Amino acid sequence: MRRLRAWTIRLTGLLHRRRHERELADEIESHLQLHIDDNIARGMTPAEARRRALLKFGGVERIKEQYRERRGVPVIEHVFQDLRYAARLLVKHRGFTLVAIGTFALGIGVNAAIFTVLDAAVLRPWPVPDSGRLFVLAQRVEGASRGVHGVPSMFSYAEYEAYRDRNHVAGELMAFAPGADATLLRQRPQAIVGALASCNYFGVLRVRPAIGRLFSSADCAAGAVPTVVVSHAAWQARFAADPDLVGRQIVLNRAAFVVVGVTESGFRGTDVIASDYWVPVTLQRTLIKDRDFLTNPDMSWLIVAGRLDSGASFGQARADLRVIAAQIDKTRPGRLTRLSVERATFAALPEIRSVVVGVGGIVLIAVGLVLMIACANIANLLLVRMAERARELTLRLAIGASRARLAQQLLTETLLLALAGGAVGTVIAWQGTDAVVRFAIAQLPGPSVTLGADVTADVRVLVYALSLSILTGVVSGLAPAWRSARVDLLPALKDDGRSHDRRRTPAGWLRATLVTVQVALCTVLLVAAGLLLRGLYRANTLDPGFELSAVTAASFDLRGAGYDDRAADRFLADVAARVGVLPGVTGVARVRTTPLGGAHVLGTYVPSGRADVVAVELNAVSPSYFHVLGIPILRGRGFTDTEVVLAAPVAIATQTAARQLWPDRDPVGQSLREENGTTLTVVGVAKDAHVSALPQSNRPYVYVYVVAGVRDAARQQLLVRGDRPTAAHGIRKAVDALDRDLALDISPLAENLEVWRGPARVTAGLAAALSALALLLACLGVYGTVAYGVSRRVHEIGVRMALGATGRDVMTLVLAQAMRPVVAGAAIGIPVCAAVSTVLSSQLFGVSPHDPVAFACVPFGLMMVALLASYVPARRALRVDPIQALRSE
Amino acid sequence: MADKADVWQGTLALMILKTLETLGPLHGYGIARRIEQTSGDRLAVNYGTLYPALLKLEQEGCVASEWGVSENNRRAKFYRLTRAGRKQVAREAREWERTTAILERFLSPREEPS
Repeated sequence: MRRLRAWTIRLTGLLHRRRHERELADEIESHLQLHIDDNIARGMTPAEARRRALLKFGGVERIKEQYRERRGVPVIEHVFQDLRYAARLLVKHRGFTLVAIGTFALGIGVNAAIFTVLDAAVLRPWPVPDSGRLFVLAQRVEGASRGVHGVPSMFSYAEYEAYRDRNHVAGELMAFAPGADATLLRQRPQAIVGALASCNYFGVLRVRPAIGRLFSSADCAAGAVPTVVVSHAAWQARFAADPDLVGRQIVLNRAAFVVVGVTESGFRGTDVIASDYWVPVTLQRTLIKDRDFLTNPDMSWLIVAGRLDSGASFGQARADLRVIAAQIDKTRPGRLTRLSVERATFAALPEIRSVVVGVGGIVLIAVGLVLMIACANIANLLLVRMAERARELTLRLAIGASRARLAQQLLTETLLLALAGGAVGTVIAWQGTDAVVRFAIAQLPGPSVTLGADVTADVRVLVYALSLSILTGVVSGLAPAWRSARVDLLPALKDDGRSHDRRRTPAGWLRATLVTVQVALCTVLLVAAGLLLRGLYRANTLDPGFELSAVTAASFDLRGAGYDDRAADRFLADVAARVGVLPGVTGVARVRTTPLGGAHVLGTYVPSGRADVVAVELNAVSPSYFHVLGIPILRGRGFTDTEVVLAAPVAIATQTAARQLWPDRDPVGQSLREENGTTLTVVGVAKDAHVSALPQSNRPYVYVYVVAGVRDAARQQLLVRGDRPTAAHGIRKAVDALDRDLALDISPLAENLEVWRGPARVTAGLAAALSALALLLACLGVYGTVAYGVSRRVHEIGVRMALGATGRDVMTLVLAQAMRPVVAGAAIGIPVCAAVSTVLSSQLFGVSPHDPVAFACVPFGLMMVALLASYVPARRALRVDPIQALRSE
Repeated sequence: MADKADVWQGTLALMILKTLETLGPLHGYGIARRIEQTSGDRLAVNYGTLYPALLKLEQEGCVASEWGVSENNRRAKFYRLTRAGRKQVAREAREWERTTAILERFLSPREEPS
């Protein structure tokens, strides 16, 4: 107790230092006076009395120091002392301080920004009250066949009901099916994204309505009036914040729903993509026609989530729910369910989390490299400065400072810099992340979506940035602190802290190593960026081998609109006929999948003359397809309209398919046998074109003609060749005349290239920005090292010039020494990058991951930039005046 | 010098507390003089060492201090024993006696009837 009290007083003793100091001086003075009075009373002279009193008291300063140490806590006082001293020094050397803080800020800023995104997706719970007690269920089912609409770890409605009704401690469970696309019919049909939700969805999440009400159990009852809840954002954007919306009907996918309420602002759903609306899960068949997920007990389509009962732990809930999983397994022989309980985040399901973490991991490594370069840079700058401060350091050692104390002082300085840089970096990340994310999403193809997660910095990001600052501060401060412990006292004091003619200063090799590491890391990033930029260029310039620019694509969801096969066929034929006769339109084709549209159909066939089964990618096209896309038939012939009408079993192979399937035979007349018995005869060979992927995959590709029907295709597609505005207008007019309410999606076919170019732009842009940052940092490092080296060798250069060396000789000498670590770094970086560059191959569009252009040009360019960075400070060597340099001896 | 012992922290604290218990509130110089006199001038100690010890006792709450005026009209800081201090004196004195009693047996060995 007494100890504790003493420590609290000692800690408070850190305050009011000045007052305590004065009081101590007063007390000692009063003590001496009392003693002197006594001595005089005994008959001494005043001078003698004072001398004796002082003698008896002992060393006043020593006592004061003991007193001070007892009063406060020395370690803490040292830290404060160091901080004050460091702050003074940093303010004094403003240039150095700004460069160092800027470097830290950039390095920590990009890391904090990336972490913010990962945090929002993976770590942050749903933005609802008391979200720490929310959980999401995930399952892995073995030994039973399952349908999947979403990802496999989702649940069927029957499973949801079992978990909801039979659990004892897990609390109330809700379920929702994210990503429910719908066509909202307002003046024009609009595509929106929402979710099917159980009627306790909002109750479990504790979300409140802004206006109206949210779901009650009556909305999920059989025969209830179809209802819908609209999100606050959608209410504002799509319904102009109409206060009378509640109670009205809106039409989604051709069915009427009564709006019962609008959610509170800020709630954007519980999926990665923000939800615009919610419909009771029991109305699945009303919203998604022709499909029945509800009654299928083996369909993965629902995310099941819940709020833990107060008093129950996650462990208890898991045990409780696993009992139910075992009960379900028992009713289905052979089935084995592994159930897990995850914290409720936007990427809680394992399939989604592994994608986010995988991509995020690669990006984190890249920004980590940038941070390492930044650390090396700071360490280098500090070493340079330490050499300049050698005299101060040795002096402090000589008058009794311990080496540990000196290292502590240097580390404090670095930490202070890192913390200041981290603070600036965090502000940058905080301001910039949202903009970067929005830029990235805007580059991606597809309808514009917003993220469900709120990507802004939170406490976790601040803690991350703070820890990163401390870590980088310590890492970059270690080398200088370690050096400080090895300062040699005697020689340093003897020759005033400058070594004139040593070729290499003691810390020289350390600095050269740091530059080497920096350049190596920088090379890795730069070559990777170079490869990605080459890939982007390739994606932008690659000739796809078919006509894109003059073709307009139109797609319809006829199945969603309730058409049957015959009606769909007639509708498409009508549209084609009406558009085909327009002036400026030269052809209309029907296709199963649009070229480069991202959808693929695979079939397995046994080719004639072979016994093995091969996977073949195929597309169903109408006879006019080859004309519309300008793909020539090289051998044989195209499809005829008669063949379509008669449903003749014919196919057209591409050159590659023909070569791969029948390497040494005439492909025309060969056949492909489907496993169900139908045999397709090849009637022609079409020229290769990159219709499936950029660049074309090496899988064989064949065309069959379009058969009537809407069952097997998600959407129906028409391609129109000719003047684009005419075509777009014509299609719209034709559709309006035939079916006013049909949602229609018209886009230039060239937009499909964006599916490939968009991600390429994002990755190449990110890589280019990061590596530019790395290059800038590495150049600063090279510049600093050379500038310092020259300033230290003024004397040596003076001697050389006095002995007849020309400016050219001096320049060669300085540059050769500067470039040595740069060349070494590049030599290390190239093989390292070559070893890991294959992870980028999906983004390279046929450019080899060991592309000689990137691997030769980038290091060469880096070398040139480094040479420039050394040339600028090296010029100072030329201005050395030999007389001046020698005289300063 | 040979017969004058060094003073170590623990005993110094006890001596200060005992002095204050006997004489009541006293300033640092007075405490130092008293300790020297009581020891019969056999204890040569720099008066200054008293002050860190006083600070420690004050932090532990055994003594309290306030500024006052000495008998010859000098301003001085007076220390007095607190209630906790009084208990501390009693406890430490007891411990000290026990320690010395044990040491006594080691230093002057005498057969004890056992």
